Amino acid sequence: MKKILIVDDQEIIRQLLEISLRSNDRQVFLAESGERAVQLAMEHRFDLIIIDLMMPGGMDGFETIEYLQQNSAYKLCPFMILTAKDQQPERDRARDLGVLDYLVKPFKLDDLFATVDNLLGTG
Amino acid sequence: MDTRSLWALKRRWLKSHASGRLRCNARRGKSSASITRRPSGLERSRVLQALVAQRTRQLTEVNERLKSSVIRCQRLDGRLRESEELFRSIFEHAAAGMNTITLDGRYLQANPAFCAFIGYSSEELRHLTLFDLTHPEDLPATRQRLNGIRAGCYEAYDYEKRFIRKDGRPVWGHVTSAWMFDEHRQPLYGIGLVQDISDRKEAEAGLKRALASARDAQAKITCILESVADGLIVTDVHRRIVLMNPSAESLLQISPEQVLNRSVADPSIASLLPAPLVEFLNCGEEGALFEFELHTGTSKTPQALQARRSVIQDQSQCHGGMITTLRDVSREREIDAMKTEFITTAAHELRTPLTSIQGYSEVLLTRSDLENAQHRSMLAIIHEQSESLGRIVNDLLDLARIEAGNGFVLQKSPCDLSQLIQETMGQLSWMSQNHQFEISVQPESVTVLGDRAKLRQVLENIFSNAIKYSPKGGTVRVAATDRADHVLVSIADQGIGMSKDQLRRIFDKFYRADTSNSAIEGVGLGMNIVQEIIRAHGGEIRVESCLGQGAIVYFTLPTEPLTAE
Repeated sequence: MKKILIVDDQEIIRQLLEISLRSNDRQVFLAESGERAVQLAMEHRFDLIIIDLMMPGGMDGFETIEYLQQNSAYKLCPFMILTAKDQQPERDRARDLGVLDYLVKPFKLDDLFATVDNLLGTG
Repeated sequence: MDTRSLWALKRRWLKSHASGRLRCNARRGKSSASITRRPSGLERSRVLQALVAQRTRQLTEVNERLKSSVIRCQRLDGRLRESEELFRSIFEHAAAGMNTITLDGRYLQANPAFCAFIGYSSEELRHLTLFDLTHPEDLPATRQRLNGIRAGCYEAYDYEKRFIRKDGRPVWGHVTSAWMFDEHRQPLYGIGLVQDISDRKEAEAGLKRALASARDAQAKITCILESVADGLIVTDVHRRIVLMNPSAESLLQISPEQVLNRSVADPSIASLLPAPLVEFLNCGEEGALFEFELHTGTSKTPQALQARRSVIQDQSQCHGGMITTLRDVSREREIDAMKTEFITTAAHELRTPLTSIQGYSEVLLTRSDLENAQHRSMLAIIHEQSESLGRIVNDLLDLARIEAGNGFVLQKSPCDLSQLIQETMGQLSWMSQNHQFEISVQPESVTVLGDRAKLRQVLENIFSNAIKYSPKGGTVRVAATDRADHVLVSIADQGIGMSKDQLRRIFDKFYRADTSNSAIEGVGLGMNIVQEIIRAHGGEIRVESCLGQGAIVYFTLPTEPLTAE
């Protein structure tokens, strides 16, 4: 059973991703903020973290990734950015963090599935 | 002394001299007779003859002297008459005004020129005094001159004064006065020469006025130069800086003494003025437009300055140097940056509801394992998100209208404000589960005459801000109070609040209170459009807030008396 963490401040997006990605061999966890994501990441060991960049209050997506990558358990964990921001500075920063999978909202479900399968090695 | 009296004098003189001498001779004769013998008849006759001859000689001499004296007197008399006639002629025909006055200011005589000058006839002048004809302001000076004569300080004077003509018009005269005195040094009369200097005085006054108006004009120009918001630097044909206005000083943060009268080609000027500006002042052509950034000590962000050159043409259309205007375009550049940011944000804002609409509709189309309830809730999400999309598009269209200066076309109808508040609240409650909403409307129903759709847009914007900017939840309190001619609506949240700077700019176009926190939905048009709508309705809006202490938005809408319909 693969564990996926979805981090997005918008409830309807979290629900959409949950409905789309949940299956018999995948468990989906939801976090509405960076802080909640860090908390869940300590409780579970995720195989993939899908994260939004812009989240109100506290930690944004990049800060959450940076924080989690400092933890040995997530040093090698695949991250996938799912954001409405489509600017070069964000793409550059993602690459600097070693995050190569950058999906821009709105997205095609097929693109999401393909990326997730690829990252989980379940394709 | 006339001729007759002269003859009388002569007779008296002859009588006294003749008798005196005769008496003396008689006495001498008598005494000698008493000592000497009595002379004979012949001797007496000889003596008498000699005496007669001597007397005759003497009388002839006297007669000759008197004759020449008479001739001399006759000559003097003639000259005096000539002199008097000359004076009379000058007096009568002089082009300048002449008069004779007494010390108490009476006119003894006045010539035709003076009469023409003053407007009174010489007969009329006999009943007037110098003081009657003097301008009140020049009376002290006139009295002072006469007092000087009376006190014997001087015998003549000259000064300029105003007279009042018979027609009431003041005239300027240059008065030269010489006084005659009797043997006891008492002043008899003054002979005055009065030149009409009104034209000269008028010319002087005109010159003074012209000078004053030239000074005024110069002061005005200086004032304008100093007041224009744009910086001005004027260079002459030798490219020397000849003028720099206060705006230029404050933009460039230098004092004019440092650069005035120095050529822009002078290498030392480079340390005082920004290098790009120096180059522009040196080589910029007429009409050239140039923009450069200036880092000043006070602010972190550089100022954007725009320089433009124009040739100064003097009256003969000659090149009189260059004028360079400097304008601070930082604000424009900031707005440009905000517009760019806005386009990015707008695209992002459109993407958020689109993601849900596309995502959920794709799920609905591709999945066959969903339950009816799931279908319904997904469709509800799609519907809400498309409405949200519609609002953003409306905002953009409103912006386009405002930018074009068209404002709003309101379609007014009576609206129940409390009903509108309830409806809008209900529609927006999906945005958050952790907010409570309290609505209080007094009295229960308040009717305003307004554009229902636009007022809904106002409420949606303010409510969604209250929710967005209180991410930790809390209570959103909405109150509406009817106050005679207007209704006051307040919307208070318990959110993150705003800093003073954020509060100051809240109604700016494209302004988003927290750009770093771009997760907060909104294109940064909301409050600007809200303000435009409220103003179009004749109401007012303001916001109170402190950082960390929530925000309260107040707005008013005029209520229409029902009888007015």
